[in-house]
Amino acid sequence: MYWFMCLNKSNERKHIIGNHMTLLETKNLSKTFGTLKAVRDVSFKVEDEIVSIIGPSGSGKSTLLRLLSNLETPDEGQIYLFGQEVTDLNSKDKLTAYKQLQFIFQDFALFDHLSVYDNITLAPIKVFKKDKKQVMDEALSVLKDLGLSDKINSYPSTLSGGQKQRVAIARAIMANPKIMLFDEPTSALDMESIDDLKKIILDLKQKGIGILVVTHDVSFARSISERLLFMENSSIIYNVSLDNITDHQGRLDKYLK
Amino acid sequence: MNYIGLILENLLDGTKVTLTVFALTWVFSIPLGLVLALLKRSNIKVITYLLDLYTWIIRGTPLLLQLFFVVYGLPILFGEFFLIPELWGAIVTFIINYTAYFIEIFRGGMNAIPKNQYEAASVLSLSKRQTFLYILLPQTVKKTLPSIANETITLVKDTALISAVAISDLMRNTKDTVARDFRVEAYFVAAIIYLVLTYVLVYVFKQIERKKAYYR
Repeated sequence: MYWFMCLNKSNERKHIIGNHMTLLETKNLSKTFGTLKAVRDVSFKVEDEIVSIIGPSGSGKSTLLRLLSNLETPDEGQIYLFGQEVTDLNSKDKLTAYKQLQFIFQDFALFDHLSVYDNITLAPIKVFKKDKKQVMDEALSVLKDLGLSDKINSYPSTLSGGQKQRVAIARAIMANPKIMLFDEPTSALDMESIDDLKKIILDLKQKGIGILVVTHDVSFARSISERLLFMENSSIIYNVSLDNITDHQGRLDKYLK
Repeated sequence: MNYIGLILENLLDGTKVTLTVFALTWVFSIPLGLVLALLKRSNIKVITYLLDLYTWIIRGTPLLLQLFFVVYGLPILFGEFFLIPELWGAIVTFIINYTAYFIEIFRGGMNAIPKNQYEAASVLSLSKRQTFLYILLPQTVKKTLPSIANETITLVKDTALISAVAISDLMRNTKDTVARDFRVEAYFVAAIIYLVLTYVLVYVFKQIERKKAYYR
């Protein structure tokens, strides 16, 4: 038992380096579908920052995001979440470990049969067993922040793409995440909604939530991110900080057609 | 008119039997169908194979044949132990038969629920039980409601088959009355009773469907 506790402690210590906290880390992550190697030997870290993965379609970036969200199981490699290795946990422990990682689906995946309010309060009430009154106060304030106060009793099918996405973000926020993953968040949005989304994401970062975005929209990625990962042929080929992006301008131009 | 008054009591007694078979079949085959539909989706090979066999046999043979087999065939094959009252034999047969149809209805409904609904539940850390209770079940009910309504109305009419194994249901009493008196009024009274029963059910299901129409 004692060695086990030591192990846990050292794990906890490892992910706090300086002022930065490693929220998510992968080591040599691989996933194959049939004969297609969708993700190959991917290693990277996300600290409390905004990181975008960009790359052409079919490069494996969506699969990578699904691996990180426990929607697919990797064939090889490890995933560390908040310092804890989660790759080999059983499915019940995984559910617990992943509570503070939230994923915003490309199609938002709202529960069609539930109102906006029930969509965002289902997990806090049923999974986190929070007090209903407290959940209601939180929900009202989150919906207000996202400009959804008048949609509280609406059903998903009556909402626009941008509104659905904000409900999905509200639902994720209600789970108190430390990190949020976005799959192609701009694909269903008009220009105005994209600007709103930028503000929301920067705001989430301000609140200390790490953000990982997968997108093919390079200008969007550049405008919000602190770091860019370039994915091609199932692998991450560059991992560059926006501070020294000019050194990589040539490589970036390839994507900025 | 006087004649109808004379035969009505007997026909209403038969209606009670008809309703008993209907209600017990419905109450047991719906939850059984739901549970077995979940099992059929479980990907456990032995179970899915056995359930496939079950639905294949039950849906591929006449209900009347199944009824004869349970009520008359089983006692011949296995002796007195299976010599139960016809009414119970009939109810068991109906439950076995209707469960097979409900399995397929629920399975179809569950398969029509988009994968992202399960994935969203998983991302929100809902357990399997919670995902079933709060996501899968309500959406399945909504998707399968029209088919369940259809089966329910068919069930009311199918109960007439039990008259063939000497059970005094509405159909049997009607037939006996016509044979005894050589007058056809009993047919019309029976038709009206069946119509009232099915109309009430259609109305109830319409109300439920309207309630569930708040989302697409």
